[in-house]
Amino acid sequence: MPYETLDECRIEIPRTGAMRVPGRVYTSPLLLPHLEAEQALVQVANVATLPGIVSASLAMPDIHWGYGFPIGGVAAFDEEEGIISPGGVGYDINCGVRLAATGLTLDDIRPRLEKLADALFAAVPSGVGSTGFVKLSKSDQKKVLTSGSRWAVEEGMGSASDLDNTEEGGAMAGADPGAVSEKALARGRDQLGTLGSGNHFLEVGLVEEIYDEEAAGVFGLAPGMVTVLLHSGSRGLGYQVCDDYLSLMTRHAKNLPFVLPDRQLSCAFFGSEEGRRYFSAMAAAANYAWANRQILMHQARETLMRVLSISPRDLSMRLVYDVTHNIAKRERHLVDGKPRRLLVHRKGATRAFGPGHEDVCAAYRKVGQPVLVPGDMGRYSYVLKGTARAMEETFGSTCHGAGRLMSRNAAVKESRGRAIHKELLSRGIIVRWTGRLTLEEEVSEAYKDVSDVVEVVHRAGISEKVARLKPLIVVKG
Amino acid sequence: MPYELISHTADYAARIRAETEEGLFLEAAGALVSMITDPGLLSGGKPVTVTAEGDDRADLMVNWLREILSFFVVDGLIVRISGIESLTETAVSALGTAVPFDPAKHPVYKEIKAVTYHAARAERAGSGWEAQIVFDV
Repeated sequence: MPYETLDECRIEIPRTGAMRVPGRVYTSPLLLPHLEAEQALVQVANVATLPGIVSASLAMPDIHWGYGFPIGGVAAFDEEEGIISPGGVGYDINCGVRLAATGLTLDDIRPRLEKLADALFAAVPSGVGSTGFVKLSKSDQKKVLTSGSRWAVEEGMGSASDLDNTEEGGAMAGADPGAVSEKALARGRDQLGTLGSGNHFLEVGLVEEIYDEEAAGVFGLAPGMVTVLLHSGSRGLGYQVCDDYLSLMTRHAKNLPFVLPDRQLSCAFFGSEEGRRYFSAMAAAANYAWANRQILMHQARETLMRVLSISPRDLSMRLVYDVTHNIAKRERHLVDGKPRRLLVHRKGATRAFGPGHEDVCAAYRKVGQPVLVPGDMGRYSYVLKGTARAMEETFGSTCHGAGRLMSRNAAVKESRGRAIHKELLSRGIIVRWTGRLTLEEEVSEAYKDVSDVVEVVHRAGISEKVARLKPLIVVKG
Repeated sequence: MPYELISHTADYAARIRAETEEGLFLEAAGALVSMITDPGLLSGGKPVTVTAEGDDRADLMVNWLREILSFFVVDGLIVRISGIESLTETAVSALGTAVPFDPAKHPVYKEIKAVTYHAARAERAGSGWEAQIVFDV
């Protein structure tokens, strides 16, 4: 795929053939060779052919080959003329990350790290087909789908301030449980409060380094502070919503007045009946995911208090922020100086709204939105902040993680004969896991070094480094 | 082995081969089951008919595997296909056995979230048949 280098952080795929806009990828000389070996750049170009796309088909430095849309892709479509695509959101609708800060330091938990790891592993169901302690009636499930995190808070699993510090307040407008199939509802009925498998995790960690004291202070982060970071999504309910609507839109694709370069890019015009119904179902699944992460944080909080025998006041656990990185959202952006209503697809990309934006909660508005970028289980994760430049260049978006380097098979082969959990322990990280091959598939070397990814977005100015977190305990499915 | 896992950065991709078209659908179903659990540990179960439709062979293959996956993720049943009853380019009907999944007896290898259309194909290859499917995990 031919491209031009724009500057040290960006390349551009020129508009050719059916492309309606160019492709633009944030990357670096270090990351580019991995990217060129895959079909991810072709996928960036394919997305650029979809109707209503505005400015450019974008990709963040953690881009890797997805199905249809690349993972790490950002594409904004005009609400009137553009499309909505389930593949542009991904199967795990509102897969996202949540960070909580505590009043604890390493000294407070050091003597009980092993016990804490065991207790968190027991309290947070993980792995394939795991079921949660929350048993939803049909009417409660519908409330979850419309109220999101608020439902969990009203059930006593969190506080009102958690909602302020969650993207969209933990509930997206426009959700309609009636647009969610019975199959999807069945898959989600007993999975609330479960982590899932694959790259989902719960980590207890430490604030290892501060890069921006002002922003860190505003976010309530200080060096040496114990944190809880978790990564999960909408579980089977979200996967099924995506699958249902991909199937529907694939069947209708032959009626569209344009040719799809890949079936997985199936879509509908946002203004169409199918497009609106998918958006309503996606929003419902997103709300389920926010409730899920709210419950997971509640389980972590209860476990910390029990194992450490401390009160809520001693723990002082508060949600720093919760971000989604698989979503399509209705947003207003300036395009060539004019405000436009857009549907921004972020698939493996994080919103990074800058200072002063009305959608950033009041407490953080002066510095910009917190952005949570987890790395692999053996290294570190980052807290960034959104910037004005992201608003100008990327529809207020940035990276979402490290991005895989190796396929799962290659990672398993690479790890053969190694005791990954012992290697992690020697680096001060206690790991608990469920799946037979989880640790091998998720080994650090299977991912890019997240600091290489973060350096690109920091240098490009589409988000800025605030703090780095180091894992102490990792729980995986 | 009638199928092999091929490299795909984020997910699992399988290439399935068979001598006949019916065999391709049979082997593909078997490949999906053996990604989820150990088929050698499955016993008992109730007879079940599995059907799927598609716009073409690739679409049919995706929808066929979706049906098999759906038995597991929605109803907790692992389906072992015993024979293809009828097969055209756009429809398949098969007989099989649905075995209740028991986490105490059956190991879980992978959480297959979905069967994707990405690079999906099911076609003649030389004297036999070949399919390629990417699974989201």
